[in-house]
Amino acid sequence: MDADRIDLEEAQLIRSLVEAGRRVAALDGSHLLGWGLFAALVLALQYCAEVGDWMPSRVLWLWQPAALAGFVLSMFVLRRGAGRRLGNPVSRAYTAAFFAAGAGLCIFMLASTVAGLPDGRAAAMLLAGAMGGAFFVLALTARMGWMVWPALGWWGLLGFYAAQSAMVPIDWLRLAAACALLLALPGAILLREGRR
Amino acid sequence: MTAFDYRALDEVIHGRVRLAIMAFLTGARQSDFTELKTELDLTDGNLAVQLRKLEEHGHVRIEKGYLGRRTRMTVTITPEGDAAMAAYLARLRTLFPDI
Repeated sequence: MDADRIDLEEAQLIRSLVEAGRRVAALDGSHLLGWGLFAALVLALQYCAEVGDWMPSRVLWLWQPAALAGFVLSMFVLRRGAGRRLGNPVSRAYTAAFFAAGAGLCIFMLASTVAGLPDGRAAAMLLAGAMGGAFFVLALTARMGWMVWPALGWWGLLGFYAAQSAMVPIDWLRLAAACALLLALPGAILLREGRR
Repeated sequence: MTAFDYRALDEVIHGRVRLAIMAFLTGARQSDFTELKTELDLTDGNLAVQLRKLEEHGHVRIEKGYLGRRTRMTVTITPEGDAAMAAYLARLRTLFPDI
């Protein structure tokens, strides 16, 4: 490839190879997109249950399994990315970041259930902090600088709940919007980048 | 001579196959011999030669181990490789701002 033969086609080839590498690392965004949309839907239902009083909202607590399902499914991102290999550092970081966040949230929920003190505000703060941490780790390890924005968004939510004294029903909608914007949207962006 | 100075391009990365390897690793961060061979449609000999050259210049780190009973060669892009690739792309952007 001589210097005078470098053209836009070569530039496109470089870009497509970088994207092919990212796809191998399994950061195709489908996990985040699916998780974000599912969690947003469940949280919106939770809000309906709270304000409409047509479901036993205290018993429901749908958002916790919805959140945990995404953390658990993040393990399969590593397995899918591994294929015939042992795994890719980007997908390992992805799995480790989200799994650690999920494990932290799970331990908190178990502890608060055992103690008989379920605290939605604290759980939401922990969730937001853990998600922000996971995205920040991902931004550093996958060298995707834009992933810092969802991290900051989650941490902003953490700050918001830190300033609140208690959870109110509208917070379920806030969390639903957060899942759509800060979880599903990054997944959609990854998918779009992968297909370009 | 144009305003674009081709001598400023990193010769190690500038080879077509090595550029393909580096671009792929920029996205994947780590790969193995079999995957690189398949994804980039290369022969064993060609890939081995190009990887050796990239390793000699510190752009990639190669580790050999076993996956079950089979040997496995893991190839990881190094921070130096990242920097070299970024500099290479920066040079190209002087020609094509939309890269």
